[in-house]
Amino acid sequence: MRTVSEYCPHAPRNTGHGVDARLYWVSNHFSIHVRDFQSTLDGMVAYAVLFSLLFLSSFASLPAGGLLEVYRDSLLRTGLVTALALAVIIVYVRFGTKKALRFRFARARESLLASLSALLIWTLIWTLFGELSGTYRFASEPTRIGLMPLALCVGLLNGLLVYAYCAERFITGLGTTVGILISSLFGWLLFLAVSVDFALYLFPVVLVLMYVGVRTESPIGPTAATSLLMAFFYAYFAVSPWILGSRQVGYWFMTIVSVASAFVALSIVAKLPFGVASHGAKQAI
Amino acid sequence: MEQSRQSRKVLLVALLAVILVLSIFVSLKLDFDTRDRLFQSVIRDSRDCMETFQKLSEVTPADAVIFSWWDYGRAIQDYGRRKAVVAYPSRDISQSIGASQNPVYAVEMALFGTYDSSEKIHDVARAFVLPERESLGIMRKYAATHVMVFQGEDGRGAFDDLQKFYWIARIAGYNASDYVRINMTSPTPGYELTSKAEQVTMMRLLFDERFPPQHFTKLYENSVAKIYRIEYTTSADSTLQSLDELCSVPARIGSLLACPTKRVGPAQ
Repeated sequence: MRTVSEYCPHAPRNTGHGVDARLYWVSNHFSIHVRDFQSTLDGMVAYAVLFSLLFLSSFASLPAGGLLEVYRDSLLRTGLVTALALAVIIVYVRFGTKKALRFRFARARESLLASLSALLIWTLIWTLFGELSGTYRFASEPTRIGLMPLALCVGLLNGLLVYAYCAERFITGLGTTVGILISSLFGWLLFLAVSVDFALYLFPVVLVLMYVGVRTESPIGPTAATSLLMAFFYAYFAVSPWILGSRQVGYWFMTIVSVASAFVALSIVAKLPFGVASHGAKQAI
Repeated sequence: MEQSRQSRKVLLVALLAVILVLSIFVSLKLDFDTRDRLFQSVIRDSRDCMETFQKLSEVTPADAVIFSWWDYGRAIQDYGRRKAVVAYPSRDISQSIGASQNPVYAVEMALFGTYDSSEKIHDVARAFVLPERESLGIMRKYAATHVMVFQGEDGRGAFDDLQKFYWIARIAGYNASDYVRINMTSPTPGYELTSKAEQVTMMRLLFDERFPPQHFTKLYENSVAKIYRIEYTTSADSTLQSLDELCSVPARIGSLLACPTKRVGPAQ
């Protein structure tokens, strides 16, 4: 481009190529291009199965009970439905698709280290900001504390489905950026489904974990980190004192700080020597 | 051939968008269903509270209509097996609901919530803030036969009408601090009633030993709630009712009559 400008007799003073390049980058990364039809379809089938089963389970009339029973039933329902969805997907992979299921266990150690580092960095920055600024503090729901192991199991099942199967299919089918974004969104929805309080501010960290899973080419780390995240935030939640005074402002502010913390965590983890090549680079078509 | 492949891809992306939207819908619905059951579960966990609703079905006739703040309406119906005047909030007061501070839940409430009419909610709020005689007119409008007020301490403020009075007064168009002030000097916040509190129906029902109510007969009381029967038949009420009816005729005739003025005015 510069060469052309040099020979152009009336070259514009400001070409604005920088803006064009940025727009091209955004459009290239975030517009949906189907690269592999079958893989995209496989990912969609998995989520369609999961959320259809969840929808059907919402019609099941659960017996009226106390708080503990309500929380336990909600977790059990999501856990059982996710397990059933996993079973259906295994059958689908065996008989309904040409693409074989490949679990990647080879880089489990790197994946675990990278995921736990990302989780630690995000938690540290987010919590420190809350503590030092007095913007938010952690509170516990005593009834839910006893249900943490169950929440951990639900998180594990969620992680297996999202990171080990769906993410791989979507990234192969739709490319790295869109694949990560869509898989994270679907995966995060399960936090909502089990009524994790203030679930919105966990989305950025789920996104980072998805990136780590893709980069290290192993779902083990993100699955373990998601289980921890699910178990902790099921029993404890961050509450902003602002909430007492002004509506929703504290909540949105905490979400923005979470995005910033996740961005820092992502930047740091990206520089750590955990992954060699990106998964997307190998899968790119 | 190429066009057919392109169409297939467009269809796939459209289908993906549909699945995504439906998945968000399902997750929000599941979250809403769980949260919607929480207050009922808190009641179930409280032995005293369940005892109150059990007593409600014993001390009131089967066709009784219970006047209470909307929070307790569903419990009155489910556990007390009596009809409640209001059981759901109205859309315009959703900001008074604690859970609406969470924007996700606010969206869920807008999508899946059940609402009572705004007029009814405002009437119930006014009935609790106005003096007894004026409250009776509103209670009669909804054919209420009994009133329930809650004074329970469960640590969450779930059964504490005094704690809810701030919003009840605000919804009614009054200033709660004219009647009750929160004392923040002590480690646990306490409430101080002002001289105007005596005029407020809810305060008379909550603090009946201090301000004995004139038109309500207490049927039951425990640490959580009080149940009153509304006495519409007193002569004073009949006189007031007649005056109310006369005052409700067209303004030209009403202005000729000496209509009673409200004793508790809106906040200045």
